[in-house]
This record gives sequence, C-alpha cells and structure tokens, in this order.
Amino acid sequence: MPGLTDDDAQNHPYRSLGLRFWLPWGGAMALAIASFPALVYAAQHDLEQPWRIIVMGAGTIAFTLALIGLNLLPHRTAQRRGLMDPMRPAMRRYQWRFMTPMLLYVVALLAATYYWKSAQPAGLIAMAVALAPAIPLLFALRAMFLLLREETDEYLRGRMLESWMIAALLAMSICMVLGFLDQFRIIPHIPLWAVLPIWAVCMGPVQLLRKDRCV
Amino acid sequence: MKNILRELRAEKGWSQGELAQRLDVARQSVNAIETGKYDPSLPLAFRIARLFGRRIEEIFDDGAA
Repeated sequence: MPGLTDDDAQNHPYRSLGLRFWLPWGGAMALAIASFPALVYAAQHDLEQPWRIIVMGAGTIAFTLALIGLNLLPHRTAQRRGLMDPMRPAMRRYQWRFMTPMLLYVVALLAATYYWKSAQPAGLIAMAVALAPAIPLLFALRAMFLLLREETDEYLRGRMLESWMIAALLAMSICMVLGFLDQFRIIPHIPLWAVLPIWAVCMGPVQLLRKDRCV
Repeated sequence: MKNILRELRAEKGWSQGELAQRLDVARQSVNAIETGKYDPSLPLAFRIARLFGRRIEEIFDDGAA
C-alpha cells in the first residue's frame, strides 16, 4: 500500500478531520433526527393533499440524504485527505448495494403513497402497494448481511458487528419504551417500520462515541 | 495480550500498511493488534508467526508464564 505511514492522523482519521468537518456533519445528524418526527407527524395527522405527500416526501428524502451523509461523509473525507486507507472491496460493494435500494425506497414510498391516496386500492393490489417501500429496504438489509459475509478482515468484521449490535440494543430500548407509551395512549401510535430508521439514527452516536471506531 | 509485532515490523522496515498487505488484513487490524486493543484469532496469529519465522508464543505474551 504505497503512501501509507503509521502517523497519528491515519490511526485517528476521524479526530484528524477537525471541527470544520464535524460541525456540518452534526448538522446532517440533526437533520436526520428532525426529519423523523416530521414523518411520524405526517403519518398521524390527516393533512390535506397535496401537503401530506409533500411533507412525507420531503421528510423521507431529507432522512435518506442525511443517512447517506452520516454513512459516507466521514469515510470519504478522511480518504480524500489521505487520513484513511483506501476503501476495502467488500465495503465498496456494500455502498452500492445499500445506496441503490435506499434511493429506490424513496421513489417507491412516494409512488405508493400517491397511488394509495389517489386510487384507494383494495385486496392484493393494496398489499402490493403497501409492500412496495418495504422491498427495497429488505435489499438494503441484505447488503448489510452480505457485507458481514464478504468482509474478510476479522477485526473490522468484529467491530462492525459490535457497532450494529449496540445500535440495535439502543433501538430496541427506544422502541420498547415508545411501544409502552403508545399502548397506554400517552403518545400517538408509532408504526413498526420505525425500528429501522431509529436503528440507523442510533448508529450515528454509537460510531461517534467509539474510541477505536473504524467502520 | 502483549506482543512484539511493532518491533518485528520495525526490524523488517515495513509500514503498518505493508504488513497488513502481507497478512491480507486491513491496516487498522495491524494497528489494533500492535497497540493491544485486539487479540488476533488463532489462524491470524499463525499467519503472523509464519511471516516472521517465529513461534506464536515468541510474539504474543498472555502474561501467564
């Protein structure tokens, strides 16, 4: 690997990025967190069309873009500045496999919401419309499974698993608490699909707080 | 677990990246092993030992002896 040295910057690439990077990154994180309640609000309140689809669409796109930013930006910036090793093949494949379904998900969600409102389908068509946004997300989860299988480095794989697991425990805790608040009608109903964006948002602080983060 | 990987690497004049390439692992893994943050699996420990022509226990010390 020509050009690589053992300097401190390379062993601490995220710290070396500095505040000029992390402040805008924090903005992307705040956007992700803020867009999710907006989505729930839109789902719970019967906004007049076309406002409902505009709010849903804008919220979903904002969340997806923030997620892309959260996942890619620190890595890409550190690599561009020579602070980090080149991306490993399994990770490169993962990013394509993950990002493509995520973008398809946004399109599917907007199309399904619009069709549902305008055509009010029933039976099997209704089920197909309801599942349309879920299918790309299943492919995104498949990308994560494939990354775990294809990453040959035992240390990186272990670190990745640990981060995902800690975020999953956080997401389960949040969903469990929200679930009981929901059951006793303290808060509005929260759909089950929320577990996935909650987990994704949890990944941000988990990655940030890890002292030896690498993926 | 303590180890002398950094010293062995220095003897050969390799960077962490070069050693990582020879072991077919990520540079972060070499750094994590050298700094004692991560103990390699048995297969990786054997690969490291073979690369430097040493026995595993000459490189890694679990402090039990």
